[in-house]
Amino acid sequence: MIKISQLRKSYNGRCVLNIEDFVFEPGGKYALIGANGSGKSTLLKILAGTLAADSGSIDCPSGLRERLGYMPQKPYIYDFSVLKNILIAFTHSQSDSAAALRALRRVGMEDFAAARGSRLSGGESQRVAFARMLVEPHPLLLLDEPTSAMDLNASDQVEQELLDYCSEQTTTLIFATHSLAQAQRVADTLLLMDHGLLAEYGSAAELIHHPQTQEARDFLRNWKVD
Amino acid sequence: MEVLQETINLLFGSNPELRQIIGVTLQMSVTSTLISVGIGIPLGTLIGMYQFRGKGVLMRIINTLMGLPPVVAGLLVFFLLSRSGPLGEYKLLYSVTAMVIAQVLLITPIATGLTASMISQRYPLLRETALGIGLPRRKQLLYTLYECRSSLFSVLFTGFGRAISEVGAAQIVGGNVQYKTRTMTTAIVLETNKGNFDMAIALGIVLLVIAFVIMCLGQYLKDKSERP
Ligand SMILES: Nc1ncnc2c1ncn2[C@@H]1O[C@H](COP(=O)(O)OP(=O)(O)O)[C@@H](O)[C@H]1O
Ligand SMILES: [Mg+2]
Repeated sequence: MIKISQLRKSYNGRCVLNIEDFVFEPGGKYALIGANGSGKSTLLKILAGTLAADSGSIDCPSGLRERLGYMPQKPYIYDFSVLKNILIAFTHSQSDSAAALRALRRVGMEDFAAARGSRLSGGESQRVAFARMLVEPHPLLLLDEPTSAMDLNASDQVEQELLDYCSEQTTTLIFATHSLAQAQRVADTLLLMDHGLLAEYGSAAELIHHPQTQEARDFLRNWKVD
Repeated sequence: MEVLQETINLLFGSNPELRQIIGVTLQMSVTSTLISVGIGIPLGTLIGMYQFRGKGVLMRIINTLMGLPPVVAGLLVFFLLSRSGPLGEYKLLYSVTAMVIAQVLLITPIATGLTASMISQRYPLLRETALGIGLPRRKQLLYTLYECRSSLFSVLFTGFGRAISEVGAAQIVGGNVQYKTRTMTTAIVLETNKGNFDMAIALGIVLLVIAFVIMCLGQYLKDKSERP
């Protein structure tokens, strides 16, 4: 389990993250939802260890940090072949071309194996970056809006692969999304972020249909417009 | 017309002094560029990749040094190497080595500053992804340099352009000694002072042609690096 407490982060005196405490259970699937700038990416970066919190603590099993997988909001695809972009992700096991190609097939990108990484479209880049997460077992997977640039079919395919991966590897999944429908399909717990605070959390049914806080009601009201 | 004639004579004739001047110019420019880039690119990469206290001040100092007037650099090296200076015992004044030292002083801040600002701009995104995959530190560095290779080529050729065209420092510490430290630019100054304007312009054109050929080679290498 991953326990965070008193986690705070400010930029130039402005607090962008302030979470009292929360426990992510092993094998759980958590969706971070909330408006732009509510602190979803900041929380994921701190969990991934790419950003230092100003204060607070994250307690997690030893060795978890070294083996977690994190896909940032703007994943970078290196300017070599797509296949090599996958192969570099074998950091704990022997790199394996067949496995890399299988991962590409799982996101519908096998035809791009020889393509230049820098030439991919936004959605294609996300699919490759996601495939890169699949080649090794990660006890914790942190994905920042992993399907935001994908078309609906690609997004569906990735969601399915993600669910399969998580159940095969018993991975704890924490992902940010702007799609409530996706949060509902993939996650068992939704966390609503609001101005850096964890405003409310619960199952999709609880949070979407019986919001307890004013922040959640405001957020969901605006949501139903589109 | 005379200028044209002079230029053609210089370019295609066999003027031993000119060949010697071109040799000194290239020797000085290439050596000082390689040394400057050899220091500036690693240093700039480190400054660009890491956050540390005083980074802002350091960058401002480097940016100031990027605009160091060549004559000031020349003067500094002159005092260092002059007979009574701290390095006077090595008797380096009025040698190609002295010119290289002055050039390195001028170009290293340029190579460092350009590299640091380019890496600072590109590294954050590269870092997020690299840490997210768990890339070891060595590979992180390697791939960062690889992704920036085209800008690094630009740093190299910006440095070279500065070295080959510079005159103030070379004049002061090299002294424009015939058959020894005379470069294209100091020769141009000399010919202009003597009133041989045709010769000065002709030398200028030859300098441009040499620079053009080298920059074409640079562009070729840069393009090639972008098509692995
Ligand atoms: N490096 C930074 N400097 C200053 N402000 C930042 C920086 N990174 C993020 N922020 C601010 O922090 C807030 C939270 O950002 P983020 O966590 O990316 O939001 P979200 O992912 O929920 O859209 C935003 O208001 C953003 O502008
Ligand atoms: Mg975000």
